[in-house]
Amino acid sequence: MKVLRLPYLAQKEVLKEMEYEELFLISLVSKRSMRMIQSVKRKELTKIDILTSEKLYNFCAGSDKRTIVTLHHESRPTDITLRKEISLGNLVCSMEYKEQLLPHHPSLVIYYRLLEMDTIAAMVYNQLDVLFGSYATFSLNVQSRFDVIPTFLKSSRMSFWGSLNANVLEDYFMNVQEQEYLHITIRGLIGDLSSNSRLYSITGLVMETWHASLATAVLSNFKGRRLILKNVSGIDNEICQFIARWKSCLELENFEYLSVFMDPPGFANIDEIKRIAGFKDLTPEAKAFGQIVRSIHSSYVVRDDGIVAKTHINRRGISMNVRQFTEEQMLKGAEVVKGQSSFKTAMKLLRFPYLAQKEIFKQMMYEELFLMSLISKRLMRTIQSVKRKEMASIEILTLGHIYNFCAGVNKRTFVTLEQESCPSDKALRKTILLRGFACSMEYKQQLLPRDPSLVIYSRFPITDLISTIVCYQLNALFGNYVTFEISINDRYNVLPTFLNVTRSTMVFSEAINAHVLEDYFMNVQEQEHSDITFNELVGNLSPISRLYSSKVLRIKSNYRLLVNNVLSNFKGKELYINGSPIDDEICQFIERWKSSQELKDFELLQFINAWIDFEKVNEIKQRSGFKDLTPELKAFGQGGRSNYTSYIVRDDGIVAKIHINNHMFLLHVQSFTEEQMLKETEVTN
Amino acid sequence: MSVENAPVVDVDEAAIPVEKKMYYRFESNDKKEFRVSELAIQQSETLNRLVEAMGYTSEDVENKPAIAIENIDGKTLKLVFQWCEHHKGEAIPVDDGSVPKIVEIPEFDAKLMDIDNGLLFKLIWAADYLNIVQLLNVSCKKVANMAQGKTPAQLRRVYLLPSDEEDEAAKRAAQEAQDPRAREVEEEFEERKRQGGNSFF
Repeated sequence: MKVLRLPYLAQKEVLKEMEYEELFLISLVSKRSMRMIQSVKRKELTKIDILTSEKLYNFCAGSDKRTIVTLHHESRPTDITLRKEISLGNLVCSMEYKEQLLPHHPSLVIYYRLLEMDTIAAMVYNQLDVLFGSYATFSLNVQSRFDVIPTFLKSSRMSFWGSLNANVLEDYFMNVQEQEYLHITIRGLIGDLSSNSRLYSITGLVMETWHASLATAVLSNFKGRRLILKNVSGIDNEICQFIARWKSCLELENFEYLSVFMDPPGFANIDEIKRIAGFKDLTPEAKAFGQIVRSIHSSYVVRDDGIVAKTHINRRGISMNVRQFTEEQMLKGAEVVKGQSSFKTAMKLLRFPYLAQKEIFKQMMYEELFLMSLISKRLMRTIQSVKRKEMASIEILTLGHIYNFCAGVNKRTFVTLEQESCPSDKALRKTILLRGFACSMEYKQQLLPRDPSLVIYSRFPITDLISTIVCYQLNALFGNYVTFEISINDRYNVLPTFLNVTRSTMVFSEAINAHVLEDYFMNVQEQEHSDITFNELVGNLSPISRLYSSKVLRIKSNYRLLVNNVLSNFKGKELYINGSPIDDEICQFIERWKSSQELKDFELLQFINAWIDFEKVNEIKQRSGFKDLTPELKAFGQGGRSNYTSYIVRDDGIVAKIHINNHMFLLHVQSFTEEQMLKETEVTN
Repeated sequence: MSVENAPVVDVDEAAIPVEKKMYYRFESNDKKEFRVSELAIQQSETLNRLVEAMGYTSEDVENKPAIAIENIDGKTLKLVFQWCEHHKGEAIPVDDGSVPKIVEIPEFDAKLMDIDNGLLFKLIWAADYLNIVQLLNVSCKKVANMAQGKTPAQLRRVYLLPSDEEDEAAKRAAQEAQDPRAREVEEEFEERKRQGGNSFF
């Protein structure tokens, strides 16, 4: 097919339909092909993420972060006959296409020789940059590269889960331009960074470190504008010194923001920090002064030139936000506000025009809408009419008897249910009635999305009941357009059941009684998704348990008996099993599917991390009547490339394609019969 | 620009602007007159359409009577025009359903809206009536912020929200006001029930 002879519009259409990795390979052919691809702007590609670890590079793109190019070492044990030669600049390497079952699986794999990994990665990056760089941005995520950190692109995120040599980091910063932003996670550091390391000059630095002296060094030497430190401990003195450094006006003149999240037990003596650093309390008026959004700050410090930084400190951390005004300006402004009576009279919300009411409810937070809806049926109806569709889903997280209701893009916790005995200042709690049950509530300052905001306290026996009431109310408010998901962690007696939940995720790190699970699935509607991680199951689930009717069921367990039971009784569409050896049961499952009597809606079975002997593979193939796929049959009905090796046929003729090797088994039911497949491929031939 | 310096002027107090821009004259329902620049008027969809339809020339603006805005008083209109003058030329936001809606109140707006609730209530009505999208957004944000940290009981007080019982009572009162015989019928029904009657009819 002479693509370059096609009319321009057709060329464009062809190139628009191609995968990114194909465009990448075509662009290597000639300058003309490169220009042609450049002219077809694939603007849906806004970001290319590059991930590198010790022996690997992954280039991912698109909204689903699909892997487009993977770099592996050539010694990787795969079938070498499938590899084909490819030239990248002056380097000759080999490549192979893999079947991409999931977006993060490899598609185009390029095999590099020892010591050439970063060079090839730089070439791939340069090529992609020339192709898509005018509209796509690149980010580099470095994970556990303890030898050398690539410098062909400034890394925006680095994680080192082992001990890193300080020289490696120092070399990296010496060889890249000054960075504007970096998120870095360091478990431990061997040696010290020099005090004028360019790490300290990054404009915005987020550092997660458990290495106390590194956190200390960062606080002592930081010269940028914004600094966030996480997981640190024992830095009371360093915080005081940092604030003193800022107050002196001699350093940190461009500094804007500091946020520190402490590991337990947190700061040793908050009062002492406040005293040494010279914290002053903010009045409500001064707190609001110069604020556009709600402020969490409760105190402030003053620089020698009078400039104010608003601060908030508790045991778990400190935040410090430098403002553009002086203490004098703030106090004067606050005085003016104080003199004016802002809210002397009530605001008649329901007498606003409809559009204004809608605007107000659109701008309220979910917890406020929840509390408003408790006031009257009329308010409930009004809030229902303002559809807050950005919520998309409400996730209920339970840990023991604590419930967190989370929603929105960042899964912000908006209601938390705690037991009354929870240690907190009871004087701050206010009484509320929830469907006749007296509880107490408190607003907490939410520093992170997962922190609590509105907390409702109730006595132990009724906490579960209160959770049902809250869920019922949220369903009435938002249920028309949001889905409900639950995540249950380590609860072993009675699992909370909410009728509107359609996705359940459960993690049991200890043995769970089968009847507890049985009861749960009896009391919720049929689940769209169930995802369960077991360690051990006490007793057996009944063969008619509704767990088996989940449309999509994911099981993570090495508990062989349970996996066997799931294979024998599953009635849904998709079944994923992680971490159990496969035996005769797989053959029985295939027989069950082939009989056409059961599993009529079944679509997909995937075993991963399973271990199957090569002998066993052959035995399964023989017993279940696997037939080999010719290249034509392999491609038939497949949108993209296919790595299926064989197929089986159901009694009614329907085909399921199969991929099997010694650690994975995949069975994918197709929508055509064997006859159709053979006939069509014969015509093609 | 501070609130005090915004170029909205009462006709009695201020001189005619020296710039050659067109300044329209508006009159509130309590007969206060304002001069507002053509660019500032564009913030209000209602007023913009009105002046476009009128097709006034510079002479018309001076010679013809001021355009009357019947249902907004002078105090509120002054705030509205101060806001429009400060934000003149700014793009009018389009609510494209991009969620979640994030509205920030600029410092000027915060100071402008540092008023009692009665006046804020009127300002929101005026923003709605004159279709000034961004003013409606920021003023509603201010009202939404009043809910922060409140219990249901406090919310009832802040927003003057009736309970179900109060709503029912108001509904009954409204029905009675519409049909004076309703009360009599209801009383008779109650009386028959007390006497043990099974059916009213």
